[in-house]
Amino acid sequence: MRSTEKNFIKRLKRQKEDALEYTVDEYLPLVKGIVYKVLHPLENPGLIEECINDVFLTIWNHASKFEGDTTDFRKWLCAVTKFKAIDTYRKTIKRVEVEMVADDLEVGSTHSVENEILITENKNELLKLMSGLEVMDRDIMVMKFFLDMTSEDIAMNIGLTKAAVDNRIYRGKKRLQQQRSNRNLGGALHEGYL
Amino acid sequence: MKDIYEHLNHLNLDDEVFEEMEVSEFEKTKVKRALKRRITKSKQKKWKKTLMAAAIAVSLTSTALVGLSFSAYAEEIPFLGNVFKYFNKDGVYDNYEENANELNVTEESNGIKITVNNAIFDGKSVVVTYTIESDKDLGESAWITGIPMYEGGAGGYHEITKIEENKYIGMTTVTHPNDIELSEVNVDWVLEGIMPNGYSEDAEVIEGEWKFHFDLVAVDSKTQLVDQSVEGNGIIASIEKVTFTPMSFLIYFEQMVSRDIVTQWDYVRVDIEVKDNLGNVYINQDNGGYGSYSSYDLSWSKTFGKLDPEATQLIVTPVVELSDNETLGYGENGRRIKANYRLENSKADIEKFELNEIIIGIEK
Repeated sequence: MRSTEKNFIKRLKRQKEDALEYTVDEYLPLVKGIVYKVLHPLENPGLIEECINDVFLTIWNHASKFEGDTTDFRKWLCAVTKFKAIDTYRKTIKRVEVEMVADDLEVGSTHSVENEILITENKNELLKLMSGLEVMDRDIMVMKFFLDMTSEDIAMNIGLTKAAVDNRIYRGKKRLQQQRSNRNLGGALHEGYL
Repeated sequence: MKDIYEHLNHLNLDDEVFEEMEVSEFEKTKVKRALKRRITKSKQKKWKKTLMAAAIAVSLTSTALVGLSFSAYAEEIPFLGNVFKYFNKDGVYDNYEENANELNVTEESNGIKITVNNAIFDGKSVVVTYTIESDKDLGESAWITGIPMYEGGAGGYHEITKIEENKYIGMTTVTHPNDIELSEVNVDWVLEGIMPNGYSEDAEVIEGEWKFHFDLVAVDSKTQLVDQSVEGNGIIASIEKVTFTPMSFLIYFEQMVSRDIVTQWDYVRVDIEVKDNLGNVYINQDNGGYGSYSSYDLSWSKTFGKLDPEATQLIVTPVVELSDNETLGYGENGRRIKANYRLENSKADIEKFELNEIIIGIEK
């Protein structure tokens, strides 16, 4: 049996390799477009290639979690790709900047909570904190933190005004900051090995 | 808690804003090949190991049972017996049979009967044993397509051995890579075909449909947090926790790699060797891992055989392997062009060293 537009998601969930091939044939132009846009300023073609492979590997490994039809799949794939590209970008940049930021933290200068948490690379921790938020706020935070989207873009996706999105981001950050100090996550801050 | 991929699933992102880019057939092939290598890498490795273990088992058996034919020995195996023991790797599965759920459900399709004999879930891996009886010859190394699916289950592999004319026994393991422990799983297993002479891309397939469903409760287990690390040469190895079950123990560990090492080497892997304070050496089954391949900060878990009840300490030696990929050639500017894989018996650089032992006091 071969994968087609109708059955490839099901076959992907069942870990059929031909479904992964189908996904590459069908969606590589889209994945490449998204990854390229984010990563090409770094001028490292190897990084782009690795990130593209990583996206498809992620789709393969997490297919069982996906719910929906072909239209939803395209949206999911776009979101996962953007997330992976942003993640790769931050990690690469961070290697250069981390020492600087770590110094800043020590002297207690101003720094934003999301940067601080993203420096820890502890995304699960951030997700855990975010699970206390309302669905819409959480979606906004995911778009903001993990997909690096602008307030305008988020506003268009959610159907709110930019001001309303900014306001929600502001409140959301504040709540995260509160929760974070309650949980005393400071220990998870990662200044160690790099 | 939902993970990031589930959050992204429900985001309902406007996907019209993203632009496609032109892609050549060559690029597609390149991506597919890279993926294939990564999703089959561990599978193949295990398969080879199993073949070796099976070969050793057979040669031992023939010396021990002089005068008995192999099929006479084999006959007592599949139906009376302990399929787990058959696939035992130096003791990893010794105590699985007595803790497993006996299912013995048979499905028949296209002249082939498949019976699921036993299944067990240790919180990390589902292990299923089965027998295949066919009205036709399925060759020396039959292969089935379709792995048992359950919430989060991702990586799986089969081990199948011919035991006599038209009879085979098999064991399939499916592991979930997440760091969470599941207490119960609902397993759906749909087999769609058998490849008579083993797996290959263009192999002949006998199609059919064999459907199984079973629910498994995880065996009782006790988890001990460890949180101990050692560091050396830019690598940190840390043991997160150990989980003890009636038939095994699992060690969860992590590797963290400094930037220097990441830039110097193409692949970084930390493995562990485990013995106890009484001198028992434990052989393990690799459950794979997860993490970022760009930084090589990865989390792993391994399943070991049953702990000696007299043991009071586990002594873990992290072994670091740094390796380089193949060199394909040199570009016009003299820069090395590297492959994203490494061949077996490669001459590319490789370095292996041990870190200091981590000693875990076992909480009784």
